[in-house]
Amino acid sequence: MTRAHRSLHRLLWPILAIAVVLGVALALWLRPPPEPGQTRAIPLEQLG
Amino acid sequence: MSVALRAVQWNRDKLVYDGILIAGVALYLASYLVLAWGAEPPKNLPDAIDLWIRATGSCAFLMLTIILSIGPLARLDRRFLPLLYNRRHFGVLAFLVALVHFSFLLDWYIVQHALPNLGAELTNWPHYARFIGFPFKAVGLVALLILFLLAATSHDFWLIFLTPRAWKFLHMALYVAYGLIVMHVALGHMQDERSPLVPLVLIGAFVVVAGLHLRAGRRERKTERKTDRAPGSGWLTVGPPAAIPDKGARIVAAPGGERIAVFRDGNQIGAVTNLCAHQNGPLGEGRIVDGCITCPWHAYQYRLADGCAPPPFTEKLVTYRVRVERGLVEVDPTPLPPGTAAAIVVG
Repeated sequence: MTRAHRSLHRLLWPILAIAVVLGVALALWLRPPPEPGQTRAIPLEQLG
Repeated sequence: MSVALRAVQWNRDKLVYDGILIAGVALYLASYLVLAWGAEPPKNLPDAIDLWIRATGSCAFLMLTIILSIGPLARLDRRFLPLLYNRRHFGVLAFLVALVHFSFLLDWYIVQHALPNLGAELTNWPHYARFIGFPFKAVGLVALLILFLLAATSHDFWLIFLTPRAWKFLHMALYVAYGLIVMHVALGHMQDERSPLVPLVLIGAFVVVAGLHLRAGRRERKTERKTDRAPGSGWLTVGPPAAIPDKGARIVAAPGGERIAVFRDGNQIGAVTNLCAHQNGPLGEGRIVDGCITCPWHAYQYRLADGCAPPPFTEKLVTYRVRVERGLVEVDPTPLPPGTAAAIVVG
């Protein structure tokens, strides 16, 4: 890697690490409680 | 300027590497499907397709985790270097698995005659202002587009056409794609799936990858700080000739300049740029094989005497003047034109 690549690498990874760890932690913290009988299929009324 | 397109230069090592990759992907998908099918058999076709979506999605994520770990692992421990050799094919295969993941997603909508719903999800603009409820499929789609761009430009033709410097910058977009994929899972699958396995694998994989990159970066910075200047001159001190491993190199760095690899082959000492002309690989981490400096990444070779690749190859490296003063090898950080003979014989 050239000096410029290394500089970008050193700048990018700490930012990416903080952003992603915060994002995942927030997504975990804020996720809604499970609904009983939840299904992944599209509800019939949405199929038109 | 024009660049001739050459077919992929297949050899036995590449075929074995690719064979192991394909077998690994097939084994992972088969194991995932058998276990998931056994644990909870799908009730209908969309459920069965959903299993494939998860199997291919998790497979692509794990592949990218491994791909992104190979570079820093090879820096930290030379035993991982063989994994670097055909990493580009690994990346292209990861893109193909991600593409299959996307095609199953389309299939999931199509079998329910609900393809417009996907368009509606992606164009539900108010949802882009939310965090939970953000259209996570759009995040995955952006990551897939980045992977496509990287896979499409992975061939040596693009490496030469774009220049190794620009090509490497472009391919550093993989880091961003990986971050987007982690968020795609965190805002999508992790919101429905209550098993602690999903967040554990997701966070664990990302922490390992980020940790390896940060650790390798810190070690590189230490290498740069260690280089001393010879007193009273601009030359850099490398150390006694014996401090350079025979048929190996020591890497020095001028402040604000590129790194220099100072090699020793018996009593011959020469200095070349640390950047391989092929893909900017770290030449100083390579060895001298058959009298030539050999890049640890793809075994591109250069003569120690003048930095030229042996015929019929035409690549040339920037070289540097070296001298021995008071028993210490020193290198002039002013680069010489590529292919200039500058190695010396000591003792």
